[in-house]
Amino acid sequence: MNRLNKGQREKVRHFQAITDCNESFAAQILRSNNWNLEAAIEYVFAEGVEISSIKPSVLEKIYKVYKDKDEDLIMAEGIGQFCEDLGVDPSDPITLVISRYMGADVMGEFTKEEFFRGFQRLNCDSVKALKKKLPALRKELKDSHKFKDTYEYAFSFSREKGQKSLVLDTAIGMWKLLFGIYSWPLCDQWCEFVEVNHKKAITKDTWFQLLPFAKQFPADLSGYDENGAWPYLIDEFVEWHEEKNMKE
Amino acid sequence: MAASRSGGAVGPAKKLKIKPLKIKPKLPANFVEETWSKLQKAIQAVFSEENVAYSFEDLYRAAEDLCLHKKAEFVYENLVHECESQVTTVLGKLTQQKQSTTFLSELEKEWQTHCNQLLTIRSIFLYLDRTFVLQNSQLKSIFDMGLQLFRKQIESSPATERTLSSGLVEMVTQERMGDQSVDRKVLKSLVKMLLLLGLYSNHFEDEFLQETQRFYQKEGVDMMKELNVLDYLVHCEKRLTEEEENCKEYLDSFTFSPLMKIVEDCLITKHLHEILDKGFTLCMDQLKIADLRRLYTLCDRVGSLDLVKESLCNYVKQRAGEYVTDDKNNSQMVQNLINLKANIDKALQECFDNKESFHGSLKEAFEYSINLRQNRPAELVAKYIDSKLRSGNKGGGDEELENTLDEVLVIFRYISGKDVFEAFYKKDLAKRLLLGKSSSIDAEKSTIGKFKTECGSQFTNKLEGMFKDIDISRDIMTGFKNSAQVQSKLKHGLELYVNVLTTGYWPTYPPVEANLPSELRDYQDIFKKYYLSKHSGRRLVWQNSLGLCVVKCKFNKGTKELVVSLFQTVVLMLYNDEDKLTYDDIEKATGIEAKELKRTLQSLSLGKVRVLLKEPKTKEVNRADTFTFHKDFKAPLYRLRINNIQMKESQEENQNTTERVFQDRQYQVDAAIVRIMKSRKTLSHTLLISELYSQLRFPMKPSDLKKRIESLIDREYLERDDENAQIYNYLA
Repeated sequence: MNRLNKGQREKVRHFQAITDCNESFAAQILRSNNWNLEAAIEYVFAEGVEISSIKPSVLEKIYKVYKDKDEDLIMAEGIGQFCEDLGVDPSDPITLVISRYMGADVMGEFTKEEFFRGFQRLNCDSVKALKKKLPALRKELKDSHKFKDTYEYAFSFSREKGQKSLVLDTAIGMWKLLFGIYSWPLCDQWCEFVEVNHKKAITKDTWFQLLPFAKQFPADLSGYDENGAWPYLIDEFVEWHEEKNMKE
Repeated sequence: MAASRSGGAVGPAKKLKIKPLKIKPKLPANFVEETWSKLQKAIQAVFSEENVAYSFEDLYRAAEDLCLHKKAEFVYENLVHECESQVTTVLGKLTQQKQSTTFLSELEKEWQTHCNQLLTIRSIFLYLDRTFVLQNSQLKSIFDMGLQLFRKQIESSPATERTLSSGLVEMVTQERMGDQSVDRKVLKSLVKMLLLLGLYSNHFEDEFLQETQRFYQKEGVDMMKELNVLDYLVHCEKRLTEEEENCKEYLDSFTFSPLMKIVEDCLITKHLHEILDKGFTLCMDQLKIADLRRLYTLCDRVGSLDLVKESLCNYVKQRAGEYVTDDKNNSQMVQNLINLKANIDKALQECFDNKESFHGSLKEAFEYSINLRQNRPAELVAKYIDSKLRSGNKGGGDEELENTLDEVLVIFRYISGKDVFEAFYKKDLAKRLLLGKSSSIDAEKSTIGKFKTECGSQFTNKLEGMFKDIDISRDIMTGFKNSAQVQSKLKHGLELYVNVLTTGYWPTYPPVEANLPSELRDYQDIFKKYYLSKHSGRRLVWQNSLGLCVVKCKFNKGTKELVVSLFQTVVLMLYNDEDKLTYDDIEKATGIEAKELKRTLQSLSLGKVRVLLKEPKTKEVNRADTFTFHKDFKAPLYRLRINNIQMKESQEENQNTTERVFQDRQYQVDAAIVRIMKSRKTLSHTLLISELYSQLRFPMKPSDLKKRIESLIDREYLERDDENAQIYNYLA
């Protein structure tokens, strides 16, 4: 560390602030990018480089605890154990945040690579350390910008392998979970509407657009313009909602 | 006084010298008094209509003399005085007269006399009038002075004044009510008097106009209740002409426009909505040219043509809307629309001056109402044309057909879903061509020509291709028949004619399988070989459902020729070997799919021409039925058609056509979106939608377009912009 000059130290601190990694790793990445801060950050995010110096051997040990007997994966059983050790309910939305850090592709299983990636990104070397981080992760759910990441991640995470859209039941479950935190007053109505009238899988576009829609309009949906670019399902929901209100 | 005289008979000329008078001549002392009294007497005589004792020349001189002797002012003043007392007496007498009609006629008489008297007096005092009065700008000429005195007198008594104007107004009102006894001369001359006296505008006109307003307001309301709308309009027209004439006859021209405005307002404008509501539909339905023309003219007068236009459009929307949405009268719809359009055109030409602004709104109204119902009108227009072009269409030569087509084309123009039309037209055309049911190829081609001018060659491309196929097939068949190689293989007694159809030009037909009799199959193979030898690399698929056969059938009562479909043939051929077959037998032997087979059997055993007998004799074809050949079949004609079933369109077929059109539309929308986005790369939702509407030639709801856009996002042709979800980016 001492070998770095003042400007370099400044950049390391900066880099750390953004990428949330330890010092030596930051210095290493910056050096390989000729101390160009922007290029280094871009590199890290583009490549999904593991920004951590946590040793794989440490993680290997943790991984073994949860690994499935037959497959080189952490399966449902392992995940259950993992949640128990962390002291969270498996249906707690916080699991979504953790999965997002792991970059887990599908629900219900973690590959070794994903598991490692999660611990490294969160800079934890033990389950205990991770448990300590939980309050900070919970905050992420409350932060509207980071919530968006989690919300959007939830789509691909809950999707079945090889499917483009999200099965309706899963989608509704996810919405109830996520909008339970974000507290969108119309969530129940939306779910009812989709269940009764749509009955089909939810496309990525609809999933992605629902959050800005929920953020933008008040509970009476005033100011909604159906000629806008909102997905048609949302158009129909607004119409359905209006009709329902009229009747009451 | 001196006089000179020159010339004489005798002697040298005498010189005359004029000397001044010794005594200065003098006027007689009482010259002024005497002369005036002479004049005064004359004036009074004139006023009392008596003979004047002096000659007018004398009097003129006397007046002149007085003026020359600088007594002009005196004369004028006295003259005014005389006149005043005269006017006062005369009018004073009149005011006693309470009855207005007599008052008016007397006043008129007095007025005339007064004017005449004034003229006489003016002649006497002409010198005064021309010199003294003219030089004094404050004084009025004698005539004007006389009038002013008259006016002053009238004005001095408000009662007189009131009697005068209200009497006049009453006269007019009475005349309006149809009282023939009203003396127009009196009326006219009194109005003229008021004008001359300058009393017209402030005393008479206002009252007159007010009364007019009251009168017509009441009349408008009463007449609207009493008369039907059409008679009411006639009445209005009559009133307007009357008022126009009256005004010209006895009123001042300045009153003309306010008067007419009042009449128009009270009679027309105030009731216009009611008139149009009640009368317009009636007139249009019965096409009452004269009444419509009148309505139009009257509305034009009051500047309410927009209302007429609105009514006309509403009428079109209402009637056309009724025709279009009446599900029970689908067969009449197109004819009704054509008639409606013809009526509207006639009214437009003959009643509405063929007004430009009407055309546009009418077009909108028609488009609106015809497209009230999606797709069905397009389909019915296609069917209508089919019924006209199909052979057996009764009545009418080429020219009439041509006219009918032109009329339908007008309706066609209003249809927004031209693709639906095209699909149905194509299907019907295919049937006409393939089953030889077209009444005239010339008419067909001329129809296509019309569509071409209407919608461009892209629209008719495929239709023209169909004709081309038919022509080419004819050549192929000639070649086929003349080919020696083919001839050697053919069995006698069987003829085949093949139409080779290009996929894409023709409607798509679902292939229906059937086990053809070996004779037919062989023949097909021979043709296939022949055709492929000429055009290698092509694929021939036999469309069994379109086949048409003529079968010779020997009955006990004589031989008949049956014109039947291929499926019917296949079934009939089975009876070459057997007389009685069960449903299952037939199904097994023919291999025709159940639905089609049932229809075929139905046509053979339950239609008009029953060559098969069904057991049991129910109205439905069931699996347990048996069919026997009808040996004793008889019919008056030699050649019988049983292929009607092929000509008629089934429900299913109809639905298929519609569905296919919708499917095509989706593809077209997708293609259009991709095309637009490919050239623009980035576009906002609103712009994309409006661009789409300008490109698409059929109606689409915005929500449907949205679905297509979302489907393309899902298929990753597009994505939403990261920054703004209202903007789409094209993904290469």
